[in-house]
Amino acid sequence: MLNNPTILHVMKYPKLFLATNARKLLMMLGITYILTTLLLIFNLYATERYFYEQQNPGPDPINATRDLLWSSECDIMTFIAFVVIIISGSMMFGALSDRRSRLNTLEVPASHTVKFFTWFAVYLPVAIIAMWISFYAAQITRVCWTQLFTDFGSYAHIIPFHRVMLLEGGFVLEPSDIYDAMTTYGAMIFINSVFALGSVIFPRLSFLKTAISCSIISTMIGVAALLGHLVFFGLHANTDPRFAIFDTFPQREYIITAVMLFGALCCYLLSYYRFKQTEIINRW
Amino acid sequence: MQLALNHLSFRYSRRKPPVLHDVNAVFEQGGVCGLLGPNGAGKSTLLYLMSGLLMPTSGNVTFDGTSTARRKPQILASIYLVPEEPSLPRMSLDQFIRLYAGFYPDFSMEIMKDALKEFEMPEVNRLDALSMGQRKKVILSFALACRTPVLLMDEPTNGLDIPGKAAFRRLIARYATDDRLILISTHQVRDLDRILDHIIIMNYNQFVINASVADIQRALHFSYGLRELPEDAIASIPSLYGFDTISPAKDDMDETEINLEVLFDAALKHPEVINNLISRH
Repeated sequence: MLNNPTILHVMKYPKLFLATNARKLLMMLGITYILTTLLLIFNLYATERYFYEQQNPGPDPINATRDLLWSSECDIMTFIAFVVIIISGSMMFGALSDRRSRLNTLEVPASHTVKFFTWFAVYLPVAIIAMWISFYAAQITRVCWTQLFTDFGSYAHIIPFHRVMLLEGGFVLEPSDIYDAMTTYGAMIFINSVFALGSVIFPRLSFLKTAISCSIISTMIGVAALLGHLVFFGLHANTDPRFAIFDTFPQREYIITAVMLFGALCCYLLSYYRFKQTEIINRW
Repeated sequence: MQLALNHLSFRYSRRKPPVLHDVNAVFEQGGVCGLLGPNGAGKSTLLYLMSGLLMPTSGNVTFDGTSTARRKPQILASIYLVPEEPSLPRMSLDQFIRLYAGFYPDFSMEIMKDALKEFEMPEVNRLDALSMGQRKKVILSFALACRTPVLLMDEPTNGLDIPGKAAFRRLIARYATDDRLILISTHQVRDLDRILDHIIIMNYNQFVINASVADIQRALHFSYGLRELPEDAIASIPSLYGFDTISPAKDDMDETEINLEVLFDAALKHPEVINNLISRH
């Protein structure tokens, strides 16, 4: 039974993919770590200087500085997270980027489903976990730097790992932080799916073509929404009670996250079916 | 094992003429089949269609009744295509075999080693450090070692040195078993003329000739180095000592060795005559 090709490929294809792409994936991890570390160290000096120059820092300047530091570090990590998610989405179908790699990929005796789920797993959940690890490693490096090379010893606090996962850095964890994290990750998954769909439609210059396409489509949707608002509500704010749910927290967050996850599911499904039709030549 | 082309048609785009039009053929297991044709005849396209790398415009290619375009793992593990310009990943040969051989249940390490030895390949460490010809030798060795029921090769002798071409012929003769179909697309007819069992000549999106070597030898007579052209010569090409010709075989004639160059020329110029003679026998 173990010699059945249907079973063999499920076990072997992920191993093959990781072995042939190990170098590229480790380079991405390394670049994420180095970029995050540099920005966190730069942010450390900028934050300290901000408090040094402030005339009235308040009754608890140390904790206030720590809160500001953590908050700004989480903003930096959120920005880098979106960059990583976009790039990993653009790379999801990188195995189809040119004729030779398409031939090598399509010839491997594994089903489309296994190949797709392997790429999806590596370029979304594994990318997110690797991102958390590199963020935490960058935090540790920032703390070591603080201890060794600065006299900002009071700021040598590391953000707890669960806060790194949430990308929320306030000292007191509030319920709104959880909802914000939910919306942030919903947005990341949706953006990843859009760029993944772009990478299967545009094998070459995937990131650029997808970004341009998304800009055009978003502009058209934005203009249509604006015109719709002007038509139905004029220049006034929308006071229709049927739309009050969009002003209610956390219902608004749930709706936004659900819409983004649904959109992501649609994009991934379209990507999968487009991948199934891939040929050795690129007809697009 | 049966590989069938069922009303197979293919075109790259609507603006271009069809590369294949309503082609029908059945390939059974056993034997080495040569696929010949002029440039742009569709030989590589046919191999890609057979291995599921291209989707037919109409019709289909089936392997034991299942369309190859569905790319099921069982079919991909049964059909191996050696492309004209193979690429190898950046890893050692041992790692390559460890990772890829597992997808082919009948892979044989003994055949791999024998083929590499026949090709006189030195100790291979990094695959990305190999020349084009050396990469070809590694891929050909791997393809033979996979022991897939169908082995498709696109210009396999391109890039091989002279000893490599001789080694290739020996390996094909050694490992072309009765349960395996080997289909070789090539321009280099002289590299293969003694190892083929079946010949297909393509032109203008059709199979002009699709016959076994035995049938061709019974139907046609090949002459070498004639000073004068015989009256019933169907086609001829000049050679060093005169003309190499092809003419209808007569009952009292012995079977002669096939001259693929003359046959190719005759098939393109007089396809109906050649096919009538072959089908009569």
